[in-house]
Amino acid sequence: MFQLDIRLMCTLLAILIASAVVVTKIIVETKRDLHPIALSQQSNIGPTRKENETAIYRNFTIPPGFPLTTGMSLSMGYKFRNGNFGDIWSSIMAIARHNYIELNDQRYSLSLVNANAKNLCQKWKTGTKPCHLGIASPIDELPGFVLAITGFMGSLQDLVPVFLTSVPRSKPDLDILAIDSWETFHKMNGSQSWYKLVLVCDSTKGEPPHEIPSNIVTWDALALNFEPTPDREVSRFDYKPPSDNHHDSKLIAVSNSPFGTATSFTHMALVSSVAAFIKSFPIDFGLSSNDHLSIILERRSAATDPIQIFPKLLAILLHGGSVSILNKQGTLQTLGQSLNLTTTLLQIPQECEMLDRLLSHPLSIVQRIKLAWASNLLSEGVFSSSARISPELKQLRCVFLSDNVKNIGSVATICAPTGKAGLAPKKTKTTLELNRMRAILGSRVVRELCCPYVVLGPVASTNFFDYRVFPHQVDLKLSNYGPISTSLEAKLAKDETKPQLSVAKRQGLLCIRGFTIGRPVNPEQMTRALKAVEKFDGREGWMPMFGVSCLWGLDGCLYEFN
Amino acid sequence: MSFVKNLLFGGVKTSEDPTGVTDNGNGAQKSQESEPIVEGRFFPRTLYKFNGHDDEKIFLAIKGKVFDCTQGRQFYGPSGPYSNFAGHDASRGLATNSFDLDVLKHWDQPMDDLSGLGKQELDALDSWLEHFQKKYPCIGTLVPEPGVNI
Repeated sequence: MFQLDIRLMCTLLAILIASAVVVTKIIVETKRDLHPIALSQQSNIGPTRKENETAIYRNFTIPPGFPLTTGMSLSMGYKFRNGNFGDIWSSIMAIARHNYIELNDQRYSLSLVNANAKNLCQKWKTGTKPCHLGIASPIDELPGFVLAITGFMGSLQDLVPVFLTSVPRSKPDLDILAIDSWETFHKMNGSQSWYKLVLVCDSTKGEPPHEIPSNIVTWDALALNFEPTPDREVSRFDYKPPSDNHHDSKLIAVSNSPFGTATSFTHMALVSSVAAFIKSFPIDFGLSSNDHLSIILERRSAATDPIQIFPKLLAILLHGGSVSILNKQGTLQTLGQSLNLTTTLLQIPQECEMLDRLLSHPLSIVQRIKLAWASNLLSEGVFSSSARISPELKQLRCVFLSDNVKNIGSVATICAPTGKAGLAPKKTKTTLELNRMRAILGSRVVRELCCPYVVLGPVASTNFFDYRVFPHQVDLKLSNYGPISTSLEAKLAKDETKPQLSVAKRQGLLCIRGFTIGRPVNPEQMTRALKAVEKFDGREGWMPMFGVSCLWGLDGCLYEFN
Repeated sequence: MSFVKNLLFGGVKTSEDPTGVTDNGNGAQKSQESEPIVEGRFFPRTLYKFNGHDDEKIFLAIKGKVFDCTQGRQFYGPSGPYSNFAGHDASRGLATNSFDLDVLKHWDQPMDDLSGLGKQELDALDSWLEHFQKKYPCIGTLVPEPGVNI
């Protein structure tokens, strides 16, 4: 009798385990967001390669022979045109009703931004030669943000916005300079006379001088302050493109880096980046008017390029969504407390302290069990938000984790890194940590490889549904950044400074080609760029990114060496 | 099974290494299968295998330039109207508008010097070359192999 019971128990146990295995297997297979085969083929790879180079890699959504994402594909009669900022902003204003811009917790209507930008554009219109507007005021405050929009708007006429990382110390080619406060003004040491106009954006910070020079004006004296209604003229932006589309190739902005370089971007670079971002969302997860993007800035970081926020920002506004820009450096607030409760998309730098605090937050036993469950499901390719720890982040659906290339300075200055600059290991998050982040935030995480001051928007970004966890040795040596952006194509070339990298093993120096790359402004820098480009097959337009050593995975993803 | 094991004992599923840095062997095998061809010099013998049959890729040569026509598989691939051109120097066939295999030189024959072609045929060949240069990537040059073609 006892023997029978044991046999019965064993049979029951075996059936139970077998059914658990079958059921979980079926559940995992059917609930998986993306099939492993799709994850293993994320790029279109050229069938041939040149000696000392790898094949050309493109995003899987751009088949060989098809053009890269070059713009918004707007119809003009029977033809398509790429579009420019004017098209984007007029569409944004046409649908702007309840959406808004939130700058450091202060909400502003798009009509207010539009009215002020139009007003300043009109004021600074020269009609003769280009007027250069230097913006050294923070973009996360109303004046800085409005000035950026003014610059973009005015670039269709004769204004050239120049984004500065600090107040110039030598005489620049600028007509107007926007600075943040009187405190900065006092530090200018008489250089205010270099400009036709100096705009002090926050007149409450610091004491004004006893005698204010005639070329100094405050934001309060210039700005329109009213509550515009949607039907009024000020809430519209009418734009009619010229028949020859010459606006599309006009310069939209110049970005000055802390490395002493200046890069110009065209309207085509901006629209290509906006279009590439919109296209990066999978079907059923696309942008909508319900989306709210929160952008967290690290203002004091050398890697903060203000222009980089605009492709995503404009894409969201174009869909009728709202945007918050926050600078929470040094704050002790949690991520949940900092963000607008309606946030659905979050752009955050990888090294953000708030994020690290959230990830190292102590968990209760129940939370740990939930985290183990969610992490396990994620590693199998099944998304689960069951372990979300912040109820404030309930609406969050995707986090864009921006990570910069290892040597921004080398890429910006077009010089191979020397000494310790090229040797210091890159601090990056492992794939296991990324999955912990997905589980704790209850949202997808897309890791982006950015190159501020050189490329507008990300160079590469991981798939929305890629939750793979790689072996520890891989994470130690490399960081996965997914396939290349749809507006770029890339290859790896033999790097003479890194003989240990083998092109035959798909390793080398990253070279990119496409529409979101900026052009050097200074003649000296331009000569250096042309020389470097000539060395890397100059006739075909490839730009080497010095100091960026990468590897192509067999899955078609770009991996940067740490 | 790993899912249940991880569920009971903790842990996560680790994906295969797609980078090859851990040298688990699978990657290297897959890598060799899909290795891109190095652009450079082709001999008629080395070009022949890229006929869409022996190798999935389809290369053909016109006036000494080798083009990768894999994208045009419906034309140049097996059972396509121009399948005879795949893996060959297609110059004479295109110039004379002939799809006949006998018009083309085989890999073990001396290379075609295009002698005997009239001006009209050479003009037609030039326009074909222009068409291929616009449509397909040029991946190398076709040269005679010492001891085989010369």
